Amino acid sequence: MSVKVIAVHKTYGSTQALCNVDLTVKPGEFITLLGPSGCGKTTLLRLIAGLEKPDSGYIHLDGADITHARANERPINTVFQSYALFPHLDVRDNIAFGLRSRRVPETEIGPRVDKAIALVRLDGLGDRRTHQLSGGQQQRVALARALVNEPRVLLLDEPMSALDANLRVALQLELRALHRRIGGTFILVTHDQDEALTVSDRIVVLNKGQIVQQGAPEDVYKNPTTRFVASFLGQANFITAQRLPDSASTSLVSTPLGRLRAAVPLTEPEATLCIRPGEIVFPAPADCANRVDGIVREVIYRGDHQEVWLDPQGLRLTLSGDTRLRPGDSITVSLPAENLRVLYA
Amino acid sequence: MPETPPLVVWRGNLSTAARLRRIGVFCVSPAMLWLGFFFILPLLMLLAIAFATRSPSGGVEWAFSIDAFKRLAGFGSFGWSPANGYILLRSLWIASATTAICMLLAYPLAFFIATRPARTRMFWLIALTVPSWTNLIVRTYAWLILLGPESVIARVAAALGFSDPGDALFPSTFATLLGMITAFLPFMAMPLYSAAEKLNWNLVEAAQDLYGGRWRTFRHGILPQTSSALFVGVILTFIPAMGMFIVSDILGGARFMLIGNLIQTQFAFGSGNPPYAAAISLVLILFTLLIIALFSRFGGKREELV
Repeated sequence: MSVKVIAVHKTYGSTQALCNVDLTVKPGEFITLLGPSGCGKTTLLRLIAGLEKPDSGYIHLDGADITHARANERPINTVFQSYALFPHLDVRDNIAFGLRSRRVPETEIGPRVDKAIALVRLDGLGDRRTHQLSGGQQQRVALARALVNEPRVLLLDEPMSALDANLRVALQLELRALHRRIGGTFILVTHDQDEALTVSDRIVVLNKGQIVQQGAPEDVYKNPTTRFVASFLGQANFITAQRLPDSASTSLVSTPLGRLRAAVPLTEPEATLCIRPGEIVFPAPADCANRVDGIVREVIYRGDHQEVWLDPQGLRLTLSGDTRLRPGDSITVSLPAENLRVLYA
Repeated sequence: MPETPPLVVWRGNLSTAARLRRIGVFCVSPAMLWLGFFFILPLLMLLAIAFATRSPSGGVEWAFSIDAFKRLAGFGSFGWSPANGYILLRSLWIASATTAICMLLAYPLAFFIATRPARTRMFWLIALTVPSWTNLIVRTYAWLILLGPESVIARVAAALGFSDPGDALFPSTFATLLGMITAFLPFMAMPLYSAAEKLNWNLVEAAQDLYGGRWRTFRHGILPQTSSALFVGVILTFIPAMGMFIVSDILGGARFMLIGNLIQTQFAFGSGNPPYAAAISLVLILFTLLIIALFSRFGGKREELV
């Protein structure tokens, strides 16, 4: 149930899809491979499924080398992005497909299919053809078709991308509950940061064929290590900063916004400071550090909060409640030092 | 007051149903006339000739008779003979074997071409279709050279013990089959290629992911997506193969008679027997329709199977 990807390389023609990727998934863990399109996340999933072979490197399942095992020899099942349900079979036969492939006795198949149908709450739809189902129902059939085999690892390739926003959120919660109920190792691929934050125990962020950061959703969100991760997972303001020549041991830096105190002293002459829009404080408390004056350029109403853009720095902050700010207002905000993360990449 | 017909909107203009019907009839009439003159009428003539009598000079005399059908059933001047039954069975097995072998060859061929990069794909498609631009008789005569006693193929066959040294590989069933298969392969491969090109590979991967072996992956990942193309290919191959006489005439020899050869000789002016030839043609048409109907029912049912 543990999956280990060791030093895997994969190229398609002249494009490098994965470069020296190492990844360990613990038994029972629900991890998300997150990244923009073309980052290699789907390739990594297909390598684990056995639908692609790596150019070099190994894939281990519970310590056994499965790098060269074919897809139909791996105790791993996939929920495909397009669901890939067999249109010539009804819902029951779609779900029973894997069991019949492995010649499980028919007397055993019936009850197991019933159980899987109940698990994904498709009761009464067993005799339907798949094209008679809605997108959400098709997604459940795909899920049941994979889960009925009791796979050691379940792979999910952007399973929610074809669904509308409300249904997506509902199914994300359902998927999380399902994982808690049946256990097992789940690996989900997505480019949707909200989905990654919602469902997984651990997020693995990929960019340009490499893993750039991994950790618990809260960790990755709060402590991004690169500009890429900070901007891909949530929103962020970036401020270039230079170390002051006389203050190597203090965290005081020079920025286009004036002198600011960062969360930690810079170890390199230059760095980028990163602060989330929700972490900027307005109105700035009297006699606090890191005060910045600006002119309101735009106020955007977002329902439960407002988004305010400041000139001339282009800072973005989110404020809850009615602030009665108007474009052109001069305001002072505070950037708390502990939230000014220091990034070097 | 006269009743106004209900108005319908067609292409943004108001019209009446009757007017639209007239336009429709006008548009399809050339095709209908064509079918009427060159398909329905000849078919009716064939039917009429089949129940007519042979004139002493080998023409048609318009006197009703079922002699042609009696002779077809095997009752000739010298009592009953099973010769016609053999000819029909031989035609059936040659056509079936041609169709089946074309199918087996066309699947890998179609997928090979469909998975080539766009530029080389065009080359393979042309290589597949260009030979069929040459007249079938010319192509069949070419096999006489390729299978002749001094040819490489004949020498290899002799060396492997399949034939005697110095012998040609024709006339033979093998040569006939070879000629038929090469003649019909493009008709099976082209529809399959167009289906293979559009194939949703996700279903193939899903079958593999769900522990499917080679056959199960083909059966559920590929066959349902290509079954209509396969059906078209079978029709385009089996029907002309049932009526084929050129290839069997040249490569099969005089003793190797197919139903097509029988029809051809009986339609020959003077020496032939037109009512007999017409009767055989009708039976061939009915037989072919029956086989296609059986095949399509079988094909349709297989879809439902698990």
